Amino acid sequence: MAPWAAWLQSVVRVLGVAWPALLCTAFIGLLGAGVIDDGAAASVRNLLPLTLGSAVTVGVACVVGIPMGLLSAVYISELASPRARRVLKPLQTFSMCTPAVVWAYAAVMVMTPALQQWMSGLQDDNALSPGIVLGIMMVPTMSMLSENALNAVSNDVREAACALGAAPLAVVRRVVIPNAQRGLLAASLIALSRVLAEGVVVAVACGHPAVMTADVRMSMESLSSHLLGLNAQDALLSQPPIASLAIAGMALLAVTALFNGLGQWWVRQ
Amino acid sequence: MTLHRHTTAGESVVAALGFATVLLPLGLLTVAVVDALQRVVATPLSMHSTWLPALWGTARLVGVGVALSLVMSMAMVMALESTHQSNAQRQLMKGMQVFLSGVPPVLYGVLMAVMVFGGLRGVSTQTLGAMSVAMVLCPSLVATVRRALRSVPEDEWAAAHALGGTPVMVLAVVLGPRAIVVLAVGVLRAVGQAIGLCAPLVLLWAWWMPEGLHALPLVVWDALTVSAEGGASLAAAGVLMLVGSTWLVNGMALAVNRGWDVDGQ
Repeated sequence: MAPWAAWLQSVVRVLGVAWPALLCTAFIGLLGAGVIDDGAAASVRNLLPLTLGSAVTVGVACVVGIPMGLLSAVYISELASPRARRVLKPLQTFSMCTPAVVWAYAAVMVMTPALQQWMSGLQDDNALSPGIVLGIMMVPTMSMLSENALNAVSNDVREAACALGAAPLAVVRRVVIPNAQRGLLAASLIALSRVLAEGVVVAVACGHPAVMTADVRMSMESLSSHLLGLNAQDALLSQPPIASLAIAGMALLAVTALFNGLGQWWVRQ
Repeated sequence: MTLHRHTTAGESVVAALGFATVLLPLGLLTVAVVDALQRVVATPLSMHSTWLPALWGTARLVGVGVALSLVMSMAMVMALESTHQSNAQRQLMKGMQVFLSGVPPVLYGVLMAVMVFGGLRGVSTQTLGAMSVAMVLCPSLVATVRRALRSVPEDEWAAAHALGGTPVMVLAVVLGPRAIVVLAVGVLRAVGQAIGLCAPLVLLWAWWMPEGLHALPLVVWDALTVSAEGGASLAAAGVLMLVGSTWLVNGMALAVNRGWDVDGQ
């Protein structure tokens, strides 16, 4: 190899190590510095309503998304014909690639008016509508991750159960799901971390009051929507509230990294 | 002899529910698209003349962001695959990749905001936007580039080297034809993701560059959050453009992927 090519290769390799290391350090260092500057007591007090808001919206999303994602994974992996699978799987990728602002539009223009028709007291900005939309948005991700877990169960186990006279549904319920338990839990955790990270839908459909409430009919703010909402509220300020950004950012990073890390660890197990 | 088994009622119910849940997300999106279409048709044509800067801005952001991201991910893959790295270093790099893939996109915007406030004010609007797009896309592109490399069996690499092939020849003759398809699918998906990326740009746009940063998702965001007159129809038009472009790019990725599968490679 020519000396210049070897030199170039070394430079590229160093850059390849340096940029992710710098980025990880920047996340932890810069956001951490903002948190320390503001004082721990104030940051905890500010985070409580946001954490409750995140828990409520993500809770609604999980109630909707996890069973539906599991059901669609069982259907695609175990019950659908190869032809149906060939058609449905690409359709799932279309839902997955749809931008978050489009889902936010669906929450505001479709889901909220539909819910308001049969639920009294539901505000225009509420937690129920973005929660349900986040749950529906979570279905393709949850389904694809769960499908991988179900497919990892050996076919021998399925065939043995069938040979003993078990019906396909019984095989799924009594053999496949118990064997894929860890993978399914990992899929739920990873899908959960993605929903937690999603701020656009909640910021648009849920409003920005940082209030302590668990009533899904009311407007509330989550950690991720708070970051986006700061600009909507404070756009007229001369300088951005860096400390608020750093505190909410650090909390969001910690929670999503925890769920994502646990999920990835479980996948490896 | 073929054995036929009757489907039980329970199986039929589960299958029907499963089928419905697979189609539910697409169903909701279809309702939203129809709603958007109705709003756009009911709006005078003159209201949609402001889209050109947003379209051009998105094209520039996506082009520069994806190119930058591809270079960054290739460098990281070269470092990951390098034989000079110890196992501990490689594990550390994989850990960083997992960490970065789990970082919410909005935090890249926060990071950029903090960096701009800390002294990056001189950097151009478009560069900062493209940098955030590139950083968000990088973890998935790293996985794509690695998958592309792995799509060529090691025996073929070894054979090409044993026959005296230079790195450029091996790249062009052995790696290129196989890996290009995997890479093309990954890049197309990254383009689709970049078109709809909103969260990291919102923070940059709000304080530093409301005039300089134009992108389709930002227009939709603005129309949905600031309830000005005609906001809903502006958002509706943006939604139609976003859905159209992301689905088109995703469809292209699927077609390339399927064409590759059909060829049996």
